[in-house]
Amino acid sequence: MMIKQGIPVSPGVAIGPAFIMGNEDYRIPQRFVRIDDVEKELQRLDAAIEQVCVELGEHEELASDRLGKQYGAIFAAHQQLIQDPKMISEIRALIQDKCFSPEYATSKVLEQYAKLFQSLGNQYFAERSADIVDLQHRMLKHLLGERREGLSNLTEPVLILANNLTPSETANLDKKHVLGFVTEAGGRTSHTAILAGALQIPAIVGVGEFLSDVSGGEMIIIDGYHGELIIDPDESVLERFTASRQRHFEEQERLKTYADLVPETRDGERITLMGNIEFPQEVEHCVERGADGVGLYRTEFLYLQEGKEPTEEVHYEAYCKVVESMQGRPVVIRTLDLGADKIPGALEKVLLQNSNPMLGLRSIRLSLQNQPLFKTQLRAILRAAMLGDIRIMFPLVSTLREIRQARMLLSDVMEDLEDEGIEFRRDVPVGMMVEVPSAAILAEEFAREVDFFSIGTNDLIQYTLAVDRADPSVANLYSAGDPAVIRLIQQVVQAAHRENKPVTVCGQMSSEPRFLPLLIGLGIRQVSVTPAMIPELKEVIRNLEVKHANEIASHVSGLDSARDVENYLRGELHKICPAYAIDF
Amino acid sequence: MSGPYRQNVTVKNEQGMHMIPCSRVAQLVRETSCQVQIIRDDQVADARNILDLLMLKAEVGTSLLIESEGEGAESILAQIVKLFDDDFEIISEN
Repeated sequence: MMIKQGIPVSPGVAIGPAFIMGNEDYRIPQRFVRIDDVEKELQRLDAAIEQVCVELGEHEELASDRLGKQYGAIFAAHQQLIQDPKMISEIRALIQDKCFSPEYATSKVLEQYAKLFQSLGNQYFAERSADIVDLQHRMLKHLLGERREGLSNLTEPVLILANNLTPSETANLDKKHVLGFVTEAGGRTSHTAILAGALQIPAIVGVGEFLSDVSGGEMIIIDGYHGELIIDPDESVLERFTASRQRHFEEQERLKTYADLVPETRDGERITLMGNIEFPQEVEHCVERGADGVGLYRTEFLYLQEGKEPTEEVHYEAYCKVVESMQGRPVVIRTLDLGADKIPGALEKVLLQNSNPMLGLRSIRLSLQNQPLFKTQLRAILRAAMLGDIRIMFPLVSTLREIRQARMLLSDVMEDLEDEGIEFRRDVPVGMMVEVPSAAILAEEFAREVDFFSIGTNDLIQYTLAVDRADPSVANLYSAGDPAVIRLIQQVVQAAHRENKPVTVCGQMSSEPRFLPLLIGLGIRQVSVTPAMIPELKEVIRNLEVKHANEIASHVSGLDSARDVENYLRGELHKICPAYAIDF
Repeated sequence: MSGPYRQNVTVKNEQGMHMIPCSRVAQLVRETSCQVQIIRDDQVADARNILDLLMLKAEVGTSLLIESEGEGAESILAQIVKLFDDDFEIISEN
């Protein structure tokens, strides 16, 4: 038995056989070809190279438009590389002389180069091996075409183990066959983690290297509560977890009875409890749990789906679906929040070329620099707003100038729509995420410029404490209980109240039951949470008295360490809701 | 046939002769029928091949010798030297 610790990102327990998703995804079905077929196979190679070039050309254009010419240049370089005459002649020689299949020959040559780069003993060149591996994958994808081995062939339920899953891979996991997943890479707020929550399957990320310890097929347990991956469990451990899984199911059944109950404290304070969603389909998760609305609709998935820019109609259809399903309840659409960690496959590497992507071109900055992209999204939002209570929210605003610019573009878009005679709603409320310390510090000034605030705690914590949670060596410093973070939240709430503007908390913090009483004590009356957490949080609210919440906030203001805060809150939660504090 | 022509250049790019500079040079050479070699000490790279060029591991400050031969060799040499002088026309943050 072996136990690996990672970051739990989606609760629950899953037990089943391991399925390793790595290069398996590009398993080469055939190493050799018949001598008569060599000519045909060479043509197949040429065709694949051409397709890869076209694909890279599209990436170049997209990256240049969206991010700037210097990013497009990376793909232009890839394009040149795949057409490198020396490399092609080496691949061709293996096919001609040794009757290797193009898949095998390409892999062999490219792997050789990747290894060579790694051995050059210079960090920059070693990193280039990733470029070569990327090219290899592109080539194999085109060569294998329909024959590509992947998750679509699963016939029995498995638990996925991978170095990393791309957002689109995660989104395409079939819940019938995939009971849970564990990745070596990633952090709590990575895109993959967010998608796992959306899929409602147990998941752990950021485990660090472990794939070399498994061969696939062995029995494993994913404990999505505590972030433990157990490989080859002992009989007694297996029994314990089977029982725990059963309790989880029962708990879920019990909590279902909360769907129709109102999230109101014992002393009658109504808390607005909304859901965070990523895909339009998730609206169902909100509706069935009786959410008061969608407090955060992340729209990045629209951009990640095809790795291409979505058209206005693609946006519009998605927004219509969400707003119609919510039947008059509010839907807060956050505009593009692509950050370094959320860029799809190829583009991600582009951004990582920057020395510090988290402080670079992302979110509203990206939108303001790519106005056609931004305007397309704004047009679709304004049009869809005809169908219900849609609100616009801008992410990662750090200066007043940005919010003014964004609002100005919004007016431009309205003017355009008007000129074109297209129906749209003019009085759509406009809000912003407060997730950069500068915005929190100047909250009062910002509050005058917007209709509402939503505090994004994930980024606020990261930027306030200067901690990248995905980095295991400092992850312990990342805490929503940090007194500095709590002080900032308090200031934002007070500033919003002074300006009479509503304020919601929509980060991971509000989805954690122990923090909810504190937030209510700080004056928060609206939260937007992972839909799966709505029943639990309702239970906490219904057992809470505002007076107690205020006492909690006041006590916390006297504590000076994250650990003290977290321990205290855990204890208080136990007092409020003994039933909830069951340890799974 | 003309040449061979030779000229020394120094790598100015902070990251050295990385993927983009190499691809710019190779792209230029591939458009001609010239033989162009870039030489670092005793290591010779065919400028048509990005991988060859990368293998030179030319970091900032490295001195390289460019040698060209064939139809239009003099002009291609000048163009490559210009690429080095202009730091490969790499556009910085806009």
